[in-house]
Amino acid sequence: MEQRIQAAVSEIGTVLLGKERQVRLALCCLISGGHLLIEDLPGMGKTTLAHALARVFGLDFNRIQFTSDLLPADILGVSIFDQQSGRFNFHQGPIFRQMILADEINRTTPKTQSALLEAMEEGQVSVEGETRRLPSPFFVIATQNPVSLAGTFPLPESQLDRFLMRIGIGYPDPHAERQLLETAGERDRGELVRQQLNVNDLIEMRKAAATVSLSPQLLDYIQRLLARTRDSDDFHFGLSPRGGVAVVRATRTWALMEGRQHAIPEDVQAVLPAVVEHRLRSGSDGEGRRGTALAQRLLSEVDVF
Amino acid sequence: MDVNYQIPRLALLWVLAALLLVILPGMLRLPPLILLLVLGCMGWRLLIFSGRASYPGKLVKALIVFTALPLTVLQFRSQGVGLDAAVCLLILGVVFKLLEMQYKRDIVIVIVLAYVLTMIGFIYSQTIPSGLHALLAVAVITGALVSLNRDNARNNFRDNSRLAAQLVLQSIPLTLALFILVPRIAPLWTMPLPVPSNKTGVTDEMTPGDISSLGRSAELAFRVSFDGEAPSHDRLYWRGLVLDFFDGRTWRRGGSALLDYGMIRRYPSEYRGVRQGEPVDYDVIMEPTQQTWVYGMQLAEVTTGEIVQDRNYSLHTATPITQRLRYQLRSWSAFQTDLELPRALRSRALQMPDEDNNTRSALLARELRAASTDDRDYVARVLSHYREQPFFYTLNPPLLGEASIDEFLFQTREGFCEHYAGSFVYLMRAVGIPARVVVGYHGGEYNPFEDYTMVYQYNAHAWAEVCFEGEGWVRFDPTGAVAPERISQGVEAVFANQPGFMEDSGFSMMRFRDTQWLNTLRLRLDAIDYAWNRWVVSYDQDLQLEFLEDVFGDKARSSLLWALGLSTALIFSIAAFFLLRGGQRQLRDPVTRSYLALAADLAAMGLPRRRGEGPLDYCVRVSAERPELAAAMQTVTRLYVQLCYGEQGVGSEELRQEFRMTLQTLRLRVLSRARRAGLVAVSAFSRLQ
Repeated sequence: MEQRIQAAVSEIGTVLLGKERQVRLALCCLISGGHLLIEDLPGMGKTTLAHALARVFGLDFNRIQFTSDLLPADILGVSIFDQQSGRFNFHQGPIFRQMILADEINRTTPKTQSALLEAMEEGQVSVEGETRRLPSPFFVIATQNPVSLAGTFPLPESQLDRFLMRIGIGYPDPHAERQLLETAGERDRGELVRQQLNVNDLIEMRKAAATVSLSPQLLDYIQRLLARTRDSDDFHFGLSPRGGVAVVRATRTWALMEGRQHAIPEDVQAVLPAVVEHRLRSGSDGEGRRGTALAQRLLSEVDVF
Repeated sequence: MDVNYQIPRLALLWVLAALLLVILPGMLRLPPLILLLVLGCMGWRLLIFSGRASYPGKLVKALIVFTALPLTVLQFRSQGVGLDAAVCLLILGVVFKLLEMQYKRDIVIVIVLAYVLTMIGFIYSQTIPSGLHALLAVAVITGALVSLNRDNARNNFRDNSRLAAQLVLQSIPLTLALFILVPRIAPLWTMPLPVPSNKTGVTDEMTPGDISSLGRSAELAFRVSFDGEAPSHDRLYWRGLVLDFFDGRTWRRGGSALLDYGMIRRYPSEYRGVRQGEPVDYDVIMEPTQQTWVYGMQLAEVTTGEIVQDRNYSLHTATPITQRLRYQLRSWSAFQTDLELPRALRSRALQMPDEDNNTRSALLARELRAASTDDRDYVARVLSHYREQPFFYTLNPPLLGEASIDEFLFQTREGFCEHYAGSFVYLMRAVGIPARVVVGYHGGEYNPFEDYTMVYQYNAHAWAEVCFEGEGWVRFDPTGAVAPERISQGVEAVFANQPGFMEDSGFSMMRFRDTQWLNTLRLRLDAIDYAWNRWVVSYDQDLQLEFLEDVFGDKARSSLLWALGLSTALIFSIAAFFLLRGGQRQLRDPVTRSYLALAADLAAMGLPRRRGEGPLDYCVRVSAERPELAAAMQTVTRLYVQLCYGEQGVGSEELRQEFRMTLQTLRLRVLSRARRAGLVAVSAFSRLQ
């Protein structure tokens, strides 16, 4: 299993050069069954990553570009009156896919955001009084642009909490960039990714991850981390129990991806920044501008034994 | 410490207020220049606070410090390096710290020093008002501490003062318990206190006019409380010094130092006097006199260790009395001393001035002696001479010239007790009867509220002692012959309306003793002060034992103190243990402990484990830095991770065994390397932190 994951990682690595860590985190997020928020500047490869992830699992994929005039019906679907049959037929919206890339999620109105977020949380949508199940598995990869916030609707904490992880991609290193420049011009490189895993693999992995053992010492460590966010003045508020559960889920998957049946502190440390940073706010930051170094600081202030 | 920390503005105000309050009583002791500097620094801090000035630069700070030091030395040059100078330096240090107070650490230092300054205040004054002041100061300093540690939302004056008051009030019972129970240990050294120069009181010289000038002072001399009934007023002779050397004008302590200072314990027991009758026990609290003698009734037996008795039965302390002194005495009203007067003492008691101009007095003495049957009859004749001739007892006697005895006995005939005592002794000596002057106090005012007697400076008195063959020293008070009411009722009754009496005491409440309610108030206030001194200020080891025995019975004494000491030690060590161990309490797992020990050893090699560094990461780092240890380190780490974080059940005994073995070997290797680097102790300690 470890090899297959590794194969998937390197497959994605062919289109997103030099970003193995982010790819692994994204995979970890998907295997844990969580939604992913990618936050970075335009043109950093967010869409490419999302595309590649969908293709490597062979999931059917849809991209929704969020704009300020997008309405909930535009993503959920509408019932249209069919004159021939004299009935209303429901036309599924773009959300009825296994994987959704919600591009620039913070550009749309809170109303539309919450329609998407309900779908993320419940795995189902309610349209015109009727509840419709979404396909399974159902993933949302949302992207947002952290700068040029004019005219945007930043997601509130309660909704950010729905994402298991938030990752940034970052600039490529010079070597990867050179390679990228040399092969420039090939559009939509995500299309080149070959399928490595299938939905059954995903389910199997998810089951395997659930069996990864967490020793009392490790749980102590996680609890110390949680307690630190709640006690310390550095944090405006502490991590919620849901945040704690998220850390555990991601830690298990990461241990599995590392080929271990038990989790170690390094696993926690690997996933922690991605899992908790969007759930925390610096104590000195009343405005809600999140300091990205918070998780690193947290790690460096809590003892590991 | 958070570098971005800013002192809450309110906390700063609290600290400034607390500091001002603490320094306030000591301000008068500071030289004006220093006081100016202190107030200047506080003002500067206020300006910084309000944004109108900036923090001083390094140069300015250095300048201030290096001018303040010589300034202090200069100001206190005359007094030498003493307590005042040290306190002044401390105060300067605190106000300088104000100027560079930017971080929490600084302000905590200032607060702690403010507590220290409050305690120092007690060296100077131990009265009730100063106690109340200290209580207030502690409350305000605590308020500063509260304000410093509160977050901004709740940081307001009312909440802070309420919490501070609560804290102080809660601590009072504990303070009382500690005050009463904690064993008293005598100070390891005593503080040389600055001596106030103009202290009124009885001195070791007596020139006519000395004691009458004391009549102008209503200052307290000492307070006495008797066990049981107080003796009648006419027996309250508080014996101070024996003056037996007369130079024609002034009476002094004469003779050899050996006799005066050689303490009576060195003499054979017959010299200690014959004690008869019922003894009376009493307890004296004496105001500081800066002298070494204390007062008691003849014939006193010393029961307190610090007091010694000399050959003249005067009582002394080893060092000048600079603070209130408390002592207990037992006196016998019927006694006989020096039934056989040694030759040295006899010659001292017969000493006459070398140049004696008092010829008429000597003549009078011889005439009276010739008419008398024996020495006692002579004494009676002399006393009746005082009584029958027109002598006046006055607080404002006329000045006397060279032949002071003659002038007094034959011309002015107005005098205070020193005139009568001096002339009386002269008349005795003129005919070869050993006699001497005794100075001290007589009488006292009874305070019914706390059942004790107050003796004031205006109670100062002088009388005579005459030695008869086979009878020893007998007290005679010639003043009583002239003014019997002085002896029976006290000096107040005699001089109440005489000009000059208590003149130096300004608007003392003593002046209104005729107004009933004011007098009651005065007695009450003094009673409170007395109780404070008796039970609080002079609460020492003896009193503590006495108290504990009263409460817990005889056995209590040692066993209780032991139990107290041990339990205190136990409580504190337990508290210290948990405080020091702190967050590491869960660390009972031996595997984790030995792994941490390994990390400590590696730290000694210069490879400390970083906080929050996982074991694998650490292993990688150590292996990269020390390839020779890599293999062993990896094994140990693998085993450790497996034992600590592996699936349940995998941590078998074998695995533990293997872990221990490899760890031991690795530690030995690491230790030998670290020892070579000579860093073991240092970093092991730092790891423990």
